[in-house]
Amino acid sequence: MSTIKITFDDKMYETEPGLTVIQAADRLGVFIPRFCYLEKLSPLGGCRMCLVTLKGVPKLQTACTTPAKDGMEIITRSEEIHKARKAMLEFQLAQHPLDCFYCDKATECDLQDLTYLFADIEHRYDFPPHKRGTVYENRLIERNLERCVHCERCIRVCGEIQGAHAVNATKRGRVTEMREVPGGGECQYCGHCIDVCPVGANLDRLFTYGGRPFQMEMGDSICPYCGCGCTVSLNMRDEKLVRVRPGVDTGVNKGSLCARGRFGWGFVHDPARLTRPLIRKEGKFVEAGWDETLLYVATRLEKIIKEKGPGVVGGIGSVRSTDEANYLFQRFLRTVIGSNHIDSSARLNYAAALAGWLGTKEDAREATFENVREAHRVLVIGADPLETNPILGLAIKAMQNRGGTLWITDPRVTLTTRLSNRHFPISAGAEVPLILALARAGLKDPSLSEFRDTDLAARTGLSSEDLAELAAFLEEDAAKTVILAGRGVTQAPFGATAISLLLRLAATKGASYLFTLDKNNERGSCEMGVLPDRLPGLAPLSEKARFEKAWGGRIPETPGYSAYEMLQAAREGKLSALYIMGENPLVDFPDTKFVEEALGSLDFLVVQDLFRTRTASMADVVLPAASFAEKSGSFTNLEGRVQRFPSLIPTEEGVRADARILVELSRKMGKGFALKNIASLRAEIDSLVPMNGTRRKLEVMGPPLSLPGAEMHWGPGEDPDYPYVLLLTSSLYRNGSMSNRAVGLKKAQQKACVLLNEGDAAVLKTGEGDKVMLISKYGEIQVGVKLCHEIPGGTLQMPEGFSDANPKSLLPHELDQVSRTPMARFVRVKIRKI
Amino acid sequence: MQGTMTAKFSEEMLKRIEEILKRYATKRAAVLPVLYLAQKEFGCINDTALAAVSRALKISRADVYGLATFYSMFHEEPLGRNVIFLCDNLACTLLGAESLRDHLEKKLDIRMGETTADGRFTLKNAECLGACGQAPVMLVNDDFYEGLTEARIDEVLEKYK
Repeated sequence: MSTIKITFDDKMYETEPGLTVIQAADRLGVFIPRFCYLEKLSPLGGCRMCLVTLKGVPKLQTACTTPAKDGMEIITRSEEIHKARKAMLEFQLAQHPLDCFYCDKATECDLQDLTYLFADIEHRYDFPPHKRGTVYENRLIERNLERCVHCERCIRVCGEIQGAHAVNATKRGRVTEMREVPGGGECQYCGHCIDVCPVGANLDRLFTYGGRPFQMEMGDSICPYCGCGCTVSLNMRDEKLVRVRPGVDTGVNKGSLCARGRFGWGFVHDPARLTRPLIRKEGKFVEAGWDETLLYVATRLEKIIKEKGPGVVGGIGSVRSTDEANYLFQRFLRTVIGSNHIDSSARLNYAAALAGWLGTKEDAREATFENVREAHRVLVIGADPLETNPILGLAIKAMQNRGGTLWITDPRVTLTTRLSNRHFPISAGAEVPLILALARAGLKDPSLSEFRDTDLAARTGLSSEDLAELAAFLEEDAAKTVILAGRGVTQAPFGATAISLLLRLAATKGASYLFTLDKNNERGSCEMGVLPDRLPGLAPLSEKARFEKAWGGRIPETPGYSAYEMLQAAREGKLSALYIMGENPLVDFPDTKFVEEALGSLDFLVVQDLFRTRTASMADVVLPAASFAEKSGSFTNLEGRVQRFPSLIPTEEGVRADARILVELSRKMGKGFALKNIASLRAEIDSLVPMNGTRRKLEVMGPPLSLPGAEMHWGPGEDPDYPYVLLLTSSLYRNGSMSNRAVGLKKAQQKACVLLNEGDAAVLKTGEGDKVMLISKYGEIQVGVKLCHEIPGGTLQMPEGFSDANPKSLLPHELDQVSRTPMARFVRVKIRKI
Repeated sequence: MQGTMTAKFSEEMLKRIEEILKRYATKRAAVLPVLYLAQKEFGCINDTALAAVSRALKISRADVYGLATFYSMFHEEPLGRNVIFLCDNLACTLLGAESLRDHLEKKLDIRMGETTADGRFTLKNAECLGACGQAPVMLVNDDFYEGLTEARIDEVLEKYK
């Protein structure tokens, strides 16, 4: 690459071409002060602090908007420049309240630092500062209008990176205010405006007066929420979490966070956290010591195994816990108990995608966040990354900002469909016929010949022209095309088969793919062998000898039950004991009534969790577990990246990390794991599942997947008794147990509403804010109505993660015959006005 | 926000917006003329108007709001049936705009920026109306009046009911 030569203050430098003067200066270590310039944002040239002299140019120029050219001679320090910059600071300070004593930004404030640097600033203006006060319209972000230096970083970050356009300069002029629209409603609570603010104008309301930097400990960790695996910097004061910020431009998130990552940490110090083990005695929970409790669990489990054999014991591992804890969990179930009945809530999504991946011979390229940012085309099928994986959503926005195109097929109206360049509103549940149609167009596979294009088109609800355009979308520029698939596919009948077809399409055309994963360690729990038919590294049970040797125990030969098969077996009396680590099936699994009956049929239920969840309330023993901040280990993100994180907060007395609980329980059962510490555990995992850089080496195959019959029907069908189709959506503000306990996310959105078309509302004589009952064949819930003009008539939409509304209780639990994943994207309902 | 998902323009206004959009390369570029229509239809730029413009042009309400608050002829509160803009810049002030303001305030029994109880007039000050040669000047709705005196004002206001 060619370089250019430029001179800063009589010193010659070489640098890359295509930079602005301030970018070149930053790279070369030449100091230029600034308020408005920020590398990740478009230049504004507003604050005039970066003024420099260009030799041969009569007036001072802003370094942030001037392109650096070969041979340019730049002066950054001179009497004239100093005077000009000082004058700008004088203006800023004339309007500034100078309330640093109680400003949360103090000591991290650019205005303080620059004023300190210039020191001898005059105060010649005696006009009174304009009193604008502080606005608290946003429930999580305080906007102090008087401290603002009008750099517009918040406006640009909100528009350019977050794409929310929720903040704008209002009443432009001497009294400009950076405000949201009255009443708000557009902020996505990413809090990026807080990080980029050079002064204390945008502040974190959860943190207010939380401490000065020198009173806090800070450490990087991995966000516990979704599959993105963002790097978060935890700020602790007196061993309590007070604030979460993104790592400084590190990690997959590169300095961004979503509402969950930044404001969702409240669960860690929730007063409802369990701090003592509980044993149910005569129907009531009684607090007990750890030794007593673990001995009790061991005795009960041993008795059940002795009476009925190990095949009546099952375990549900955790998509929220670490790779290490999940590894130990399946090792415990397999060698200490002797059962392959192991699964997790990854069954609801990633396990199906995995079955598709295992059943595909062709080697499709898996995308990274970087690939998405740099892609030219992204096709999203059955996913809503802006809600489920917001930082992946930002990568898509960055792709669009670079001129890329986002197409999406989704029956719902979501943040992602609104962002898309083109939205194909397919029929409910039509993801699989859509993929069949794309595969027929792109693969030339004779086994697909029994399908007719016209039938498939009719089932997708799209015209054959639309389908042809979608197929053509994948033909061009494939090396820069990423296909994103999510639960719309994995939770459909033959979803695994459809995933396999998509991967074959990607491999054939040269495109790459990525799965959206709602939970932070779906992938890690599967890769650690929390599956009924796969060992760590996804090794098939036929390879069990090498694991038996390493573990010193026997592993059963036949695959165990998957999650819903365990529940079914419990109802039929074929499963007597269940050990649930960090899952809450009563809230997170579809068909609540079915799950409740299954758990109620068990002889012995152990739940290991942070809280006394609804599931834990049904247990015989509850074991208080540590949160992500209180334990070390690794999480595997949706790209397959294994990311380690340290323990940053000491666990409270009585709380133990998942891995430690399992090791101690194994000892109580007389087959103790010979593990001294987390390092020896990691060494054992690495010896069985080798790493390939930051990812695991997974050279495994599964059985090929069968195709559905040509007569197969998808979607909700017709039922005059239940005239509406309820489509479940994902919500940024609630995606499971932790988010439902996070005070910050409750402030962002208090309640779930059902979205209803205006025409349907008129027929039902119901309006915005009214309460209605939604009734399906499987359950009923009460919920408030919100009108939405974008939703087609006869269709309802509702976010599924709000535990008080619990729309999952409306769902059936019909399982796909290949992946054993429940079909949980939609259900027919009727509406009754209350 | 309550109601923001359903706020919209009337069919007739939507047709006029279609016409306006033909003149611009992007929807965002049409925001000023569409804001004028919104002010006509909703009486002022209130939450509903912001939501309707945002929906018609597919830009955020905050972006519309930022713009609407910059231009002094977009109003957040409903105005009277007739709006008087009295210029208070240099030339007009030198030629007696201050006493004309007092006269108007007294005659209408309102202060600058207020609306009469019967809703007939809103009185607003204007920055320069661009007719300093004919100062003092005022604008009533879309009609321009120059070389004003108290008597002339009394006469003019009679035309507006």
